[in-house]
Amino acid sequence: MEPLEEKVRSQLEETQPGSAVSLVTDLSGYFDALKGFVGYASAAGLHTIYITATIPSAVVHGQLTSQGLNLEDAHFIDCISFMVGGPRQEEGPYMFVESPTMLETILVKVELWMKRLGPDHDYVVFLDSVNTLAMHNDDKIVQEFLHYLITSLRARKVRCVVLSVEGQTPKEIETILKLLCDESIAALPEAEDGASE
Amino acid sequence: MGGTGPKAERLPRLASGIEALDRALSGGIPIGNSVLLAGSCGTGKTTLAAEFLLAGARAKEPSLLLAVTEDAERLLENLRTYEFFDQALVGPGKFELLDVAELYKGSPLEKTTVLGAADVPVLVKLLLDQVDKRKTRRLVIDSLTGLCLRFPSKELVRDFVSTLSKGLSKRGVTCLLISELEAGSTGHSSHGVEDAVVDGVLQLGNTVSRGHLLRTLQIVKMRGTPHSRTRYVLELSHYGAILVPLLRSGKA
Repeated sequence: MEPLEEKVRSQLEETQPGSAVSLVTDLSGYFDALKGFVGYASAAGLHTIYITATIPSAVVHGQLTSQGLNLEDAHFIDCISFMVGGPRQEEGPYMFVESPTMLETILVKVELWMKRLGPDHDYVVFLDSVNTLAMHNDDKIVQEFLHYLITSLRARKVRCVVLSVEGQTPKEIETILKLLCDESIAALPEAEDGASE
Repeated sequence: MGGTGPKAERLPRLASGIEALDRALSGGIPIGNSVLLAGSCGTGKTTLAAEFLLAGARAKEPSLLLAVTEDAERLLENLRTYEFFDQALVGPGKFELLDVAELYKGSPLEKTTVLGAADVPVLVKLLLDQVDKRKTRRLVIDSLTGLCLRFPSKELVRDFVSTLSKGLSKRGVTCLLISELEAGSTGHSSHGVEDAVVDGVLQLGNTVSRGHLLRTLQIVKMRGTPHSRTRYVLELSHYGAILVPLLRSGKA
């Protein structure tokens, strides 16, 4: 296991049900951060609701499983495939949102996965990434979206991990993440020795 | 949901079957309330009402749907496509459907096309007899608009809805009255009078937000409980209705 992957995984293991984590990475650390998260969720027996706005879900799924990661309990909300003409069939672990600008529909799909899978599981919602959402939406509405998503999950003791790319996140969104999240994990190669903020 | 409204604990509630709606109503619909479920076609009135009745049947509360606009068998056929539907819940003492023709059968109203003031108590009695016979706790009239078509004036509609609501309330029956609105209508009821006499109004609609057409639900009025006044996005999924707030991007 890469040190960065190990770091993300071990720090996530410290989190409590209902907590929100800001996971900050950069381009070189992106896949290690994902691997760390998936390894953690799988080992903890959590069902992951994976919101992907950056890379189509089939690609994320393929890349992570090809590296031996267990994605059996990962359920995707894909906000990008539909827009770029990719597969749209809602089957298996995939649900689609027509566009990353349909933020309410993303919230609906999170609820829908939990309704579909039932109340007998522990869940973690993973948002990949806040930067992509900020690219397609204005900052204020992304803040409103994060506020609702995180607080509504917290109220139900559901964990939430929000991934962002360092230096690419608008200031106002960074501020709301600091305000809403209990932990911040810096999944950055140069910060490998640093503790969580 | 402010602190100036009624005390949340004052009246016993009934879970609507839609978790987020119950939260927005501080625990559910006060028992005995008659609530207008208003919206134009395709806004989800029937599906939402059916979920309310099936939740009742699941809670062992006899639930009745009076089918006016569409026949009962056709309604049932559509409901069978939903995951939340359970055929085992259909039957006496659980979820029952009644065609309006059955309601009128053998009554003085069977062959009357235009109803007058003297017919109001007759129609109310026909309905309440069905409720009493079945020990109904939850009732849906789909639609009130269709049922009131035979009343030639607003005054008679108002009288009918008011008398029926009182009768149901007295029996502790919680009722959803479906009101069909024209697309783009800004009112809450098809005759313009029903919303004033019922206990609650749930308004369904469509709204364009940031270029996307969204189905919405708003609690306009609900007597006996503090409630949210925000507009929610409503998704009618196969697993049941889902509500999330309509994001406003900081705008009023």
